[in-house]
Amino acid sequence: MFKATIDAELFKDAVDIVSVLVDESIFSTDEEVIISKAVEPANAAMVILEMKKNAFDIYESDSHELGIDLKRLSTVLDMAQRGDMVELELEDHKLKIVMGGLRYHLSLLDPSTIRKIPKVPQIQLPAKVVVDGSTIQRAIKAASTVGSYVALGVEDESFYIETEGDTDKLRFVLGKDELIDLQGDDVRSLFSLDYLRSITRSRAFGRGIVTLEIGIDYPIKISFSFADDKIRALYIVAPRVEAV
Amino acid sequence: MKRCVICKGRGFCGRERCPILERFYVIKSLSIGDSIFGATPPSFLVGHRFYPKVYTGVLIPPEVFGEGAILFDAPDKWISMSIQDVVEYRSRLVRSNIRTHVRHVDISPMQECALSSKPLDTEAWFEKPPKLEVRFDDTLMPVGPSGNLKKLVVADNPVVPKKVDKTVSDYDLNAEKAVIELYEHGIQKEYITRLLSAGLLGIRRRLVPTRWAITATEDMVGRELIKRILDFETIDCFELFHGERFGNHFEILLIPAHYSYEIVEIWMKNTLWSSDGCVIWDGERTKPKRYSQLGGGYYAARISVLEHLYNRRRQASIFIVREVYPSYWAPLGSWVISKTVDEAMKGMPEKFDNFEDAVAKMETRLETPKHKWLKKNIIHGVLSQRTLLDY
Repeated sequence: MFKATIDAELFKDAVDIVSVLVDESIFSTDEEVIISKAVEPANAAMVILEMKKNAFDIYESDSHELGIDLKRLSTVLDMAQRGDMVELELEDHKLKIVMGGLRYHLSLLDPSTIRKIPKVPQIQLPAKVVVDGSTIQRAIKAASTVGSYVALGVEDESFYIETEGDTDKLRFVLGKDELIDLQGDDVRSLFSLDYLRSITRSRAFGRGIVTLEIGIDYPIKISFSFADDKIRALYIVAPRVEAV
Repeated sequence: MKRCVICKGRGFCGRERCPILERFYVIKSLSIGDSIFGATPPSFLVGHRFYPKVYTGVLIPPEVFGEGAILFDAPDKWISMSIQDVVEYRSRLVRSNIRTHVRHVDISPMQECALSSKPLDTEAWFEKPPKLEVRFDDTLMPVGPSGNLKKLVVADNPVVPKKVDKTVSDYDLNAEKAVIELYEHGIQKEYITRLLSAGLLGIRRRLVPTRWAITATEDMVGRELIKRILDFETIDCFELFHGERFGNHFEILLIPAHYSYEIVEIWMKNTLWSSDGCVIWDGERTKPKRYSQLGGGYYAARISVLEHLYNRRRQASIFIVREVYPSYWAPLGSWVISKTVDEAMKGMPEKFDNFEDAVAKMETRLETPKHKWLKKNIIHGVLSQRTLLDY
C-alpha cells in the first residue's frame, strides 16, 4: 500500500531535484521515508533525494519500489496550480495522481529496466562551504558562458569558482564574511560544467542555503534541504583531472 | 567558404540552385521517349523543395528488369565501385514525378513500389519526355533524369516481408517505435527509410522528404542503440580503425570511457565544398542535441560505430576524423560515410594503451597536422572525467 498527500509545489520541487540529472528513477518507499537515488549515464554524477514522512500531509506506505518516468510525472505536475494538493496512490501497478479535479494514472516502469545505482562513494572531504544557493547558481551560470569546466576551491579563507575558456577567464571569489560558513583546508577540484549547470538549475537550489564539500581532485558533495529539513537533496559529482 | 561546407547544397545562400552542384548538371546521352518500361529496384524519392507540396516519384531504369535492377539502388555493392560507375548507374535511373501535399499519403501505386522488398516491373508515361540531367546531394544518392508523370502502372505484385506488412498496417504504433521494431527485426535501414519516406509508418502519416527520412531513421535507431550501450561495460584499451573509399579517409578511435561521440570533418584544399580547405566538427554526450551542423554524415558515421559497439555489447567514447580529398569529386550521398565506416569497423583494430600513441598513429595516415583536429574538444573532457566508480 502507498498513499500520500502533499503540496503540489513542494512535490514538484522534490521531483525536479532528480529530474535535472536523469529521466527515470526508482522511488523507494517505506513507512518513514521516500528515497530516490539515481546516477546519470556516464556514472559521473549522482543524486539522492530524501522525503520524510512529515513532509506529507497524509502518508501511509509499505515498502515499494516505484519506477518513475520523471518526464511524464513532471508533465502531469506542471498542470497543478499554486495551492493545489496532490494525492498519490498506488493502484493496480499504476500511480494514481489526483489534483484539483484531475485524475491521472501514471504507468510505472519495471524497476529492473532502470539503470543500476553503483554504491554511494563513502568519502570524507576536507573543506566545507555554506553559502546561498542563488549565489552559486549565478556564478555557475556565468562560468558556463566562458568555458566547459570549472574549478571550485578554498584558498586564504575564501571560496572561489574559476574557469578558463578559449579566450576568456572568469574568477568569482567570496570571502569568509560573505559566506555563511567556511571550514577546513585549502582545496581545489575541477568539474564539468554540464553537471553543475544541471544541478544548480533545479527549482529548489536557488531558494535555500547550500553546503558544498570539496577535496583536492576529489568528488564534490552538494547538499541542501527545504520544507524545514523534511526534504533533503544530496548530489555527488566526480571531478575532472587535468590530463591531456 | 566554411558556409558552403556546412550547407552542402541545401540552399542557405538563397540561390535557387547551388553553383557548386550546378557544375555536375551534365549528362550522358540517354534517349528517353514519353514512356519507359523497367523494374524499379525499388527506389522511391520524396523531394524536400517546396515542402509541404513536394515532388514525389518512383525511380525506374528503362529496359532493365529483374535482379539486374537492384544494382541501381545498392550502396552495399557500390562501395567497391568508382564514383564514375555510381554516377552512371544513377544517371540511367529515371524519376517519374507527381507533385503532392505531404499529408496526402494515398499515392498508390507509388506506395506499392516503396513497400516492396524486391524489384517491381513498372511502366510510366510522362507528360513530355524527361529532362536529361543528374542531380547531386550530400545526403541523397545522385538522381537522374526526371519527368512529370501522366500514368504509372505496376505490372508486378509487391513482395512484402510479414513483419513489414504488420508494421505498416498498424496505425496505433508511432513512427519511432515502428522504425525500431523493424530495425530489431533485421530489416535493412534503407528499406525502413523508404517506408518512412513513403508515409507508411506511424500514427499521423505523411510523406517525408527522403533526405530527412534517412537522417531520421539513423538518428532514431542511433539513439536507441546509445540507450542500450550505456549499460554495457567499457572496452579495455584504445582501439583504432581506419578506412578509405571515394576519397574519404576515416580514422575511428574508440576510447575506453563512457559513451560520447565526436567527429571532425576536414575538407582538404580544392575539394567539393571548399577551395581553400576547411575543418568543422561536432559532437555529443548522452543527451540528444539539435540537428548537427555536419548534416546527414554526422548520423551516418555514428550509426555505423554504434552498431559495431552494440554487436560487441561494449561501450566506448567515439572519436572520428574524416578527411575528404579532391578525388571525392561528386557528392554521392551519406551512404558513402556509413558504408565506409561499416567497412572500417570490420577490420582488426590497432590497440594502444594510451591516447597519445593512438593519436600519433592517426597522424601518420592523415594529411592534416593534429593541432588542426585535436583542439579543445569533447574527448578532452572524456579523458579527464573521473567516474564515481573510481572512489
